[in-house]
Amino acid sequence: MKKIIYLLIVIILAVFGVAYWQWNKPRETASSKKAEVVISIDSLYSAFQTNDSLAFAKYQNKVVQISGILDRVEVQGEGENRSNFAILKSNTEGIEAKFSFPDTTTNSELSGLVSKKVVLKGFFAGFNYDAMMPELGGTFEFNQSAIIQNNSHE
Amino acid sequence: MNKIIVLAVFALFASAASAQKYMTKTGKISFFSKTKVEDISATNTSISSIIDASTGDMKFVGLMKSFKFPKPLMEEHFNENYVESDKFPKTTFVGKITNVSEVNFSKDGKYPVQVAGILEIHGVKKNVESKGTLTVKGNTLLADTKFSILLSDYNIIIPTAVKKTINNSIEITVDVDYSKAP
Repeated sequence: MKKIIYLLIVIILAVFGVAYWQWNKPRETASSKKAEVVISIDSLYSAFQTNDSLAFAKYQNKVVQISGILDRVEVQGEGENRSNFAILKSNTEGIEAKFSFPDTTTNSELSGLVSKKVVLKGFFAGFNYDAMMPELGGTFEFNQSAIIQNNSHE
Repeated sequence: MNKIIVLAVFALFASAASAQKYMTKTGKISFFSKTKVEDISATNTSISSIIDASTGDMKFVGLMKSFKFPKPLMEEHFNENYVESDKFPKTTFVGKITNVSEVNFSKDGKYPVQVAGILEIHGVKKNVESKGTLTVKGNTLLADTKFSILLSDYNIIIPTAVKKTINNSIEITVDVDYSKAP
């Protein structure tokens, strides 16, 4: 009987332990993942212009790697909602790629790379574009991104 | 000569019309829901939006996967089980400031506004109405409003196991800074 009680306690503790770990597990970042797609913003835009549903299905959740000149860095939100973003511009007017970085990537780390050639990767979240607002252009958004190469010496 | 005058007048009107627009690509929309277990909140700071000051037309678009939650697991459940972001990647709002004539866009100040339009979430379009504030400050505008929606209205199904702990009603906060279009 005692053995059964001990076993039950162990099972309950294990269940709670797994639940606690799941609840507090860290966010998966692209830094530890190999890029599944290496593409330019213009080629990505071209794919979405041809067929946006097909293109979204092809790239969604994939770790996408893009290289280009870092146009600007933005910090948005406050407190725990604060995020750092790095924006690369394409050769097409109004079309950009916006990479959001995990909390550990400081703004100064990114700011030092503005106007320099960088290679970034992140989980593809989608193409923020609406045909009813062509003035705003379109933004490819990537989450939990990482800097994989910075040619700051160039 | 006449053609040149017509073109010049047209260009002048086109430029005036464009100057009436306010735009942003960094609008903030958050939502909040009080539950018995833990409060649920998320924020998206990459909302694209345009307000046409001459007509009161306003549009918003944002990606569902750009809503950030304090807990990664909440974000995972939100995208996979509730709003199905892989199937319905965007949320949009197309509406109008119904009392835009009461806003003086060339005079700094806070103006109470009423907004009505169609909000699309999870592939479902529903009419929403809300009262808010438009703050004019030079060439910038700050739009803020709060309203509630029912998840069930958007066919967002709460699993039976957590039905008692997750509220069907969520509060949406819109807090968007615009700049006058160049």
